[in-house]
Amino acid sequence: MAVPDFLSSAFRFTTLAAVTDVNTIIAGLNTELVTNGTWTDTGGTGVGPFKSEVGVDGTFFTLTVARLSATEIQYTVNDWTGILVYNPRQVIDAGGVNVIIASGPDYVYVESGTATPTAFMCCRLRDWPETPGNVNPNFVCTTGPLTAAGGATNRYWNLWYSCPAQTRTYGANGFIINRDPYGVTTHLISPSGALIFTPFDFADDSDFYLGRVPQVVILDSGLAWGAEYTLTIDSGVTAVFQVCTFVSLSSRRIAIRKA
Amino acid sequence: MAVPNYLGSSYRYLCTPTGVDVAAALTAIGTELVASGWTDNTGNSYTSPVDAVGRFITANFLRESAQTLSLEVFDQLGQSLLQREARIDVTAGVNNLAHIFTGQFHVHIEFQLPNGTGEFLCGGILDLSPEAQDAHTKWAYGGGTRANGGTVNGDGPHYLNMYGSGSASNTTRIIQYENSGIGGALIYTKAGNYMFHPREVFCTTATVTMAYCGRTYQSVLVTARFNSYSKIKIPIDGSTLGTFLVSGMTSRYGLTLAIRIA
Repeated sequence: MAVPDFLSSAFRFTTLAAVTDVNTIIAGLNTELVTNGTWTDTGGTGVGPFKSEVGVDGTFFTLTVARLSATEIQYTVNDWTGILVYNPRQVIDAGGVNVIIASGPDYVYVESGTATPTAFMCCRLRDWPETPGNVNPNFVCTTGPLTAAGGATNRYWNLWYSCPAQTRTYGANGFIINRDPYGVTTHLISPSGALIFTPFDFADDSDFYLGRVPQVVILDSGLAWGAEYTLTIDSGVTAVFQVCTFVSLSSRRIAIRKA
Repeated sequence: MAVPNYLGSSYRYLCTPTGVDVAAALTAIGTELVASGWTDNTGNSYTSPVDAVGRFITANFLRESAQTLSLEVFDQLGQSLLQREARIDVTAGVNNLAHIFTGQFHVHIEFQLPNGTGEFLCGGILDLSPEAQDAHTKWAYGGGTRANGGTVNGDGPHYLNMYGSGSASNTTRIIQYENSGIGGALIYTKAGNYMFHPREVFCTTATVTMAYCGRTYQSVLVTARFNSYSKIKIPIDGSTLGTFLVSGMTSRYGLTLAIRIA
């Protein structure tokens, strides 16, 4: 077998310590995405808008960040045609929190280590790998802890997505794929004791598959936030993932690539 | 991408008429299993090839009557995974077809009845990858439409027999692929391709309730919108098509089983 496509891209992971002003997050995004990554700072001043790596099909998305206050940031995600996907907000504590930035050519994850940690995420969904001639459009998706107006979203396992070829609208909901049989909770643990992972897959509001999030996996329930796990992603190939604040169906944990 | 490991094993397929007696199918099953590398132990007992880590199963077939064929699968420790039965229509003058799928890690026998439904028997070894194939011992399975005695309690792609925590049992063991927002199975990609999913199997062990054990070889879950016994082509990697026969078993979660034929 081979390393799954959604785990094959470049990735970075860093922690910003004791962040008291979201300007530090913005500077951290510039460092991780542009200085150390393959994104572009289209504003040229170190504060974005940030443009993701352009795919072989010419698609990308942009991330515009705005400091609403020292403790509140707003992320605006647009697809490659300029259509707004969504613009969620996120807060930090005035006393300072650790902030995780995980990123790659086509995804960003920002976790705020508040008492109840929150996360913003945006990415270009990866296609179903077995797709033959017909290929999915590159859906751009995002999710975050607060709406554009600052209300709670509870969308950690839903998301907003956009695809110009399909809807030319924003705000459509995507839904995670449930892998439990009716009435039975399965465990992503092998009889060997090893953790098993599944992709972070999404569908639309019908019976269509949208895609999967790069460098993110779903793990079994009950794993501690912030814990690291080494997973076998191919025969003889391991990777390290850190449990993030998203919680999936059946209390399953979502973890992002760290090493 | 590469062909998934669970679709990389050997496979054979034969469809043969069996009239109104399972005896004809029984003879063909033996021929196909031996051609797939299984050992004929005589008496309609066959042992699968021993794989690189020493795994094998033994499949004992028995003609219970003209109407009924049974299969009892044993793991390499000799533990029975329960005897299962499948029946054909023995109305005078009708014909039943026997679809015989075999390979180094699987056997699936399915009778296509004149009314278009199917009854099946199966057994096999799971693909544990990316874990090592000897990472654990919950890799043998059996199954069939009916329990020993004829009760229909295993009709569907989700039922398999495994030896869990202390004894073998027949229960729901596969996951669904449901859209959490609306319910119902995933069927298409946005580009309009039919999707397929591996048949991932779970088993309760002494320490974990419904632990993930592996995938059945050379079979996938597809939408139940396909007609039974359709032959469908599925992309098994970016450039390779596999041909699968859609089972006539009762669907579950909007999905049914399709087994590799080419």
